[in-house]
Amino acid sequence: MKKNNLYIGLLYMALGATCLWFTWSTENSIRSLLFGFSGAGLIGGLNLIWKYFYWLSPKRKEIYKDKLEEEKINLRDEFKESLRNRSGRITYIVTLLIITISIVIFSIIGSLGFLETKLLVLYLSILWIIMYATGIVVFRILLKKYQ
Amino acid sequence: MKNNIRKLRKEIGLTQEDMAKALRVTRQTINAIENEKYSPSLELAFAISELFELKIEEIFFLNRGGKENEEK
Repeated sequence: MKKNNLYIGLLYMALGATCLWFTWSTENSIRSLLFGFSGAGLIGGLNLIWKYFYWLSPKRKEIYKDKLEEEKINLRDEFKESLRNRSGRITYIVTLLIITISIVIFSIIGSLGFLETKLLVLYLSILWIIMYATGIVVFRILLKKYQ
Repeated sequence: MKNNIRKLRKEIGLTQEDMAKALRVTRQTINAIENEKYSPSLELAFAISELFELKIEEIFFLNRGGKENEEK
């Protein structure tokens, strides 16, 4: 396994520890967020370091080599790539639908006076427009390469 | 796009797994091609023809007139 993984693991742990130190030493409203970051950093870092030493063992060298090869094939496999593209397209459409339905539901909730939803509806509307426009713009940019 | 990969593969005693390894693709890709659910890229089609030591048109053919080609 590449030594980079060890360094990244150590970096994650250092960032996690820094966040943990800030969580304990300061009293502010972002404490819970910092605590979340520290957990993610420490656990993620520990996981990377453990994996590094686990796969470093000479008896696992061949298994690791096969695992890497399999990962490489899985990543470059053209059939899986086409499935990933299709899944991305479906996810994009489903997300647009969910946002549209959410806008309608929150608008109704807001207009009935149950909750103040103006900002949320505005945010969701902007998100919908950005997603829709990005889809079109990216497609046109990609198409332009072949003209 | 039709093909006779399953028949050719069995003739030389390869499993889907063996074929996938030789072509550096996943077994699912071979399965999808054999079941005509997926048409491979030109690059993969050439790799398959090299593996079977046959011309591409002896392995792949369009639906139209495919049966006739297969019998030849």
